[in-house]
Amino acid sequence: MDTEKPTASINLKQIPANRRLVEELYAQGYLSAEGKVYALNRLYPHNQWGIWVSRLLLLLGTALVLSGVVYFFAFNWAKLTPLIKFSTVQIGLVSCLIAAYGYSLKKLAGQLFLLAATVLVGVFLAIFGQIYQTGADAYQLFMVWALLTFGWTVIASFSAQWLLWLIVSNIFIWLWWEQAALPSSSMEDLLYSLLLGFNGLALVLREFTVQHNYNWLSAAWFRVMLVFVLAVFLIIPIEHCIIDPDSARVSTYLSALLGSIILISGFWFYRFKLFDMWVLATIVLTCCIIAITAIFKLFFEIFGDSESITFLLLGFATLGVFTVGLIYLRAVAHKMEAAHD
Amino acid sequence: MQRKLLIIFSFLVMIVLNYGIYQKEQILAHGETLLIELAPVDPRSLLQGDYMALDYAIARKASSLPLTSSQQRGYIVIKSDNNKVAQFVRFYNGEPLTDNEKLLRFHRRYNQINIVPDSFLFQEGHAKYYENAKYGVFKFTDKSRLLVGLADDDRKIITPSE
Repeated sequence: MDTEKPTASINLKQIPANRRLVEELYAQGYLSAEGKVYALNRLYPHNQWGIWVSRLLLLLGTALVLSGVVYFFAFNWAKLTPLIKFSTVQIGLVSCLIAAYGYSLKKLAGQLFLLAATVLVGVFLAIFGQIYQTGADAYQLFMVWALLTFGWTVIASFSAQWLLWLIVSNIFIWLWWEQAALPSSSMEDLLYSLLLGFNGLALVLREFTVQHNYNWLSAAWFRVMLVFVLAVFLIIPIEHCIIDPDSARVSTYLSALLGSIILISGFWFYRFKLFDMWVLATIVLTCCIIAITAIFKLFFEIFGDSESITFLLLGFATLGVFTVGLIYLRAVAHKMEAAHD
Repeated sequence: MQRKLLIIFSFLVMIVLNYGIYQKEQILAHGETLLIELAPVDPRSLLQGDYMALDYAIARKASSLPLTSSQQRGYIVIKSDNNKVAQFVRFYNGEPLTDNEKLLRFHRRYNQINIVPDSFLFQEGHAKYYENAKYGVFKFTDKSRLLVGLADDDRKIITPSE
């Protein structure tokens, strides 16, 4: 492929290879018709849907088999001796590991077998809890599960594996806070700070590794999902502080402050450093929700007695806030389009 | 490298899991049996799906006593009577224990003394066997304890007869 005489140093990595680029190159005469067909076939292979369907079925099948195993053991059969329960799960676990080793972790099948092994470790721990009646310390189950499977998760280079590990770890943090940390009531809402810190760190690490060419986390859904989770955990304390400041405690304000910092730095980062439209839309939506809550609170303070006026004005305010948000997003989208052309 | 790590991590996981089984089996094999009386629980909150919430008479008694310090966590000293049923002696303050005294860990939540395990898991549908349980049956070793089952009024361990 020809390139124009370099006017400025353009990093090729920043130019998305898509249908539009190919058409543009063809229109400008840099690509022959044959080259265009070849390039489009490279970008969008005609048998792509077949691969996609077979992968989807593989994932679905794995998920269903694992659900079956989980539900079978959740029934807690009294007739099955502990020996039988433990040995079945361990045989399954070892088989999955051998299969993962055999297929190698470079193939999807191998990665899925390791994912199955990770789930089976959780099943084993649940059975352990049933047999030895350790049900009271559920946080320990998730803690051990996260710790034991961390090594596999690091070497697997598989986004679904990371997703599972993050879910388990989040549940562990939540339960640990409830069952073991025993916070005083003024400190209860620090839980949100913990969750924000943990998932924020995960997002930062994800961006860092993708920058350094670890491709397995580069799936866009992974970033958007983490951002969404962070948005939920920061909205809760912020809304609490706005709606009912009287019942908010020190820890609520601290979590709301941390949430605001994350929201602002996230906006700066994904707008100016590493542009991402989906993330920006999530952040703008979050800001809209917070703004509407603040306006709602303000109106109630002013016209507390006559609710009809409050709701009428609130309707206009909602329209206004979302309109501003949308106008902003469209402006940004246009700007970025122009920058790419 | 990746393959080597996979083998190493997998061995570690299997060792940890089986060591866990070994530890608990040691308590079962060498522990001393002790019954702890269950406090009557409101029957409507007693059974939830496939487990039963437990509350202990000792914990109720301890909750009603003024604590020397408002500690969040600590130990209760218990003593076995002639029927192997544990009785509350005092809160533990680091003093040496006499022969048949044992320590039971507790933590406080909203001014309630809690003793774990506070739940007993069983097969779905087996609730009817455990409804009238009066004691929790424990195995005690020096460092740890294990809930092995529930017992009825005659201090006999309940086994589902299906």
